[in-house]
Amino acid sequence: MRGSRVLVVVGLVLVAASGFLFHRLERRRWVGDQGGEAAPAVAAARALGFEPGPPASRVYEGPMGILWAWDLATRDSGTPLPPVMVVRFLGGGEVGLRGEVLVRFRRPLPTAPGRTVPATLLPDALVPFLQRAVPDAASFTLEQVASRVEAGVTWHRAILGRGGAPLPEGWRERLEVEVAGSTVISARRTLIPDPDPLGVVLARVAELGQGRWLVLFALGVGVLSLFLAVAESFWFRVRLPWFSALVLASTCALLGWGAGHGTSILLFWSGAALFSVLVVGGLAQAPERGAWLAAPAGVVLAAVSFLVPVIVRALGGWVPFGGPVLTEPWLGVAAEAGFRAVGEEPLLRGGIPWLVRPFLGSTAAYVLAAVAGALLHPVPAVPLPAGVMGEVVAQSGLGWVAARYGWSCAVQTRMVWELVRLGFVAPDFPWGRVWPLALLSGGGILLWRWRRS
Amino acid sequence: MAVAKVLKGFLVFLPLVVASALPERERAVPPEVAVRRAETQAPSLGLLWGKLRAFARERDGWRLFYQPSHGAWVVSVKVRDLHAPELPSLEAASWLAGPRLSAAVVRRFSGNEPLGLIEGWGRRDWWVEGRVMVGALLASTPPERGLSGADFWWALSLVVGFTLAGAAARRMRPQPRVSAPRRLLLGACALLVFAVPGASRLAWAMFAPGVRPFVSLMVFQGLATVVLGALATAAFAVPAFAEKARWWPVALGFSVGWLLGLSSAPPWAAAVAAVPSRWFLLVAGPVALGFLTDLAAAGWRLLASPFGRWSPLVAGLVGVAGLATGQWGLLGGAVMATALCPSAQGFWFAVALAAGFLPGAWWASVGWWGPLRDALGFSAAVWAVLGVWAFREARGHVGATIAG
Repeated sequence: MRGSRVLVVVGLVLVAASGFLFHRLERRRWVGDQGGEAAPAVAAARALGFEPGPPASRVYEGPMGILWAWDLATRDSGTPLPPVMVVRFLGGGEVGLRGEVLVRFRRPLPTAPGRTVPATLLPDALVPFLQRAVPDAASFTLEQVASRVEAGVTWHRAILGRGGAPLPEGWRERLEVEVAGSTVISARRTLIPDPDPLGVVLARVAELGQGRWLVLFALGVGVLSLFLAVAESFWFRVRLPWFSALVLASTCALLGWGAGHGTSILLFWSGAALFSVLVVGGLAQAPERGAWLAAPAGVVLAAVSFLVPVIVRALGGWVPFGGPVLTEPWLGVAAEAGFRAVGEEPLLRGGIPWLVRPFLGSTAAYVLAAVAGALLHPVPAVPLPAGVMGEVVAQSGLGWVAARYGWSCAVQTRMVWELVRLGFVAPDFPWGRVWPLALLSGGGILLWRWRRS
Repeated sequence: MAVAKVLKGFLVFLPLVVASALPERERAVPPEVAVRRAETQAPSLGLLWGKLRAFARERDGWRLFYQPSHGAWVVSVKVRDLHAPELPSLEAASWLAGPRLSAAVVRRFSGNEPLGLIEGWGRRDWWVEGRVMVGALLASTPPERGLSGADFWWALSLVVGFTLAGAAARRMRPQPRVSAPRRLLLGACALLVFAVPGASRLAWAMFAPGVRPFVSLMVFQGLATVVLGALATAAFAVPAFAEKARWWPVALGFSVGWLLGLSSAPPWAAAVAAVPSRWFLLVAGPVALGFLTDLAAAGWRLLASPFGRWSPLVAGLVGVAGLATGQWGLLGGAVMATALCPSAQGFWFAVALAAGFLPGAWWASVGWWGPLRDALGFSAAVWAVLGVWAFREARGHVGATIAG
């Protein structure tokens, strides 16, 4: 009784500390919870003299290499680079906004584009446009002008560039403006990163990608072993939980489809979930049930995964917050969180420990599974092991949850954890509303346990 | 009876007869010669190649892979046996800075019409006829990574399927445990651990631009650990069943392996001959391969059981078809040959077949003394053991066996 009260108190303290960390992280988030609506893009288009049609689509673009390279280059100053929200309109035209800064503009060619601007007068002709579209236009210098005549219309392309502050050292920015007649048809701002941080980021991603393939191969061998165990059990007429396994596998497939994964990925993880549940649910002893732990443990583990970058940066290294930006709508993000929980946890915290435990023992089995889980979703880091070790620590927490309260509790914990973690890097996700909800749920459940004990 | 004995003896030494009757063919020079020629005679790319990381044997020469320790690029150069080294190829990480040349400049510089371009993070690369412009460096087309031949995937899928079926068969129909095959396999796995560092020379596809070579080596060693760990576990989970080894299946298997190696002489066998740890591969590799082949044969027996007494004929036809289709059909042929053996001797036959393959392939394709000496020495030792074994069996003694 006293032990469980101590556990509840510790849990409450951890949940409160997690809430404090999430609150501090709010300012690092790229997009506020009002999210990327299309209205700012429409207003930007009108300000540039283009009346767009209704928005047809709204997507977020990175690219991820640039965002991470910027994060690495500015880790001391801490100004994250937001992804670009691109709104495309029915009838043509698109506007891209990075936060409040216009980075992309394109409109259809009007039937009367206006009188042709001589190439020598182009810089003066662009001044009104630049004053409206590019607030810091004064820092750009004209580098090149190219012209062509197409279907009787004279097109000019002006390329402007800048370097130095406020860009990080070694970075440059290029602005390309295309004019037809006297109408600005398109404008595009492109960041040209310093090769050093970009190279570090992309090289780390490639290296961890190789490690990921190794883990997938090892997990594939594990899944085949589970298949053999199921086949043997079927042959010897051992009762297996077919219904629950099929439900879980179907749920996994559905969530993966909702998250936009391909068929091979769906088949692999659904099969892994199916065989893992059959083996563990039918052949292993179920430990104490602990579904109540899912919310508080998920919140704490999410805080751990955000704390690792803080600690590594304080020690002079670098780990990005979260992972690759998820550009899906918030439902897709939730589906991805559910897919990771329902697809990976039965295998990592159920099937693999069941296979490995007779050879290496329980602790080693869960640590091995934690390493495998960490390498499935690696992020670049300096030094390289920092990104993986932090994740290993957090996934070992899931191993403890599974060992103590069962793999199903680990599935629920992982779902809460991924919702909070993935939501942080998804611009369309209402992260600012989800983490307080998770916090209140976790704290409330712990207090309820306190009363019961 | 005497005729059968003479015939068996002839079949055992048939590989020697065939080897001596084979017409002289071009043999591979050692890769050290190719490396010397590449580093002194190959056209310059204008950048440092780095250290030699891997090599691959192609039909008419060696392809060498160099990568510096920072891993930003991979240089590969083809050195044909009787020709000068070709223009090296260059694969560079996309973030490496370089110029973004226009098509006109590329046309003038390369002398060929540009076929397409790739916009990288830091530069623009162009594809021209038979060449690649990596930024402003003209290099030859890099080799294709990965095994893309259709026959490879067919053979691999079939063999993996049979192996899985064999594992299921052994779990469903447990047989008396025999310790000798398990001990052999565990010993082979332990020996193969020492072969892994040297075998990394064969894993050229692991060395990719943008990935530091020591990371690639770590991943390769991790892969080898997983495979050897799975094999060692399989020794307990799906153990091979074998009675006391008999002379004839072992002798026939070794002879068939020699003949298969002689006739096919695949290029990768010459590459294995160049690996520093080839003795471990020569001695321990066949045990692991033999175990897997026997497992696949057990799977075939399970899946072909509906054929009843026609299953040996079907196995023979499938095996011949596999051998006729191409190099990777050898896998299927070996599995079918093992399936035709009595199941209690299949493990010994498969190990002997795998043991005879490399010496036969080296004898046909390798042109330097080290691997030939090892092949002859290993084969002579096996034949000597077979001779003593046959003599003792003929004298009526209980021969020295390997079975537990």
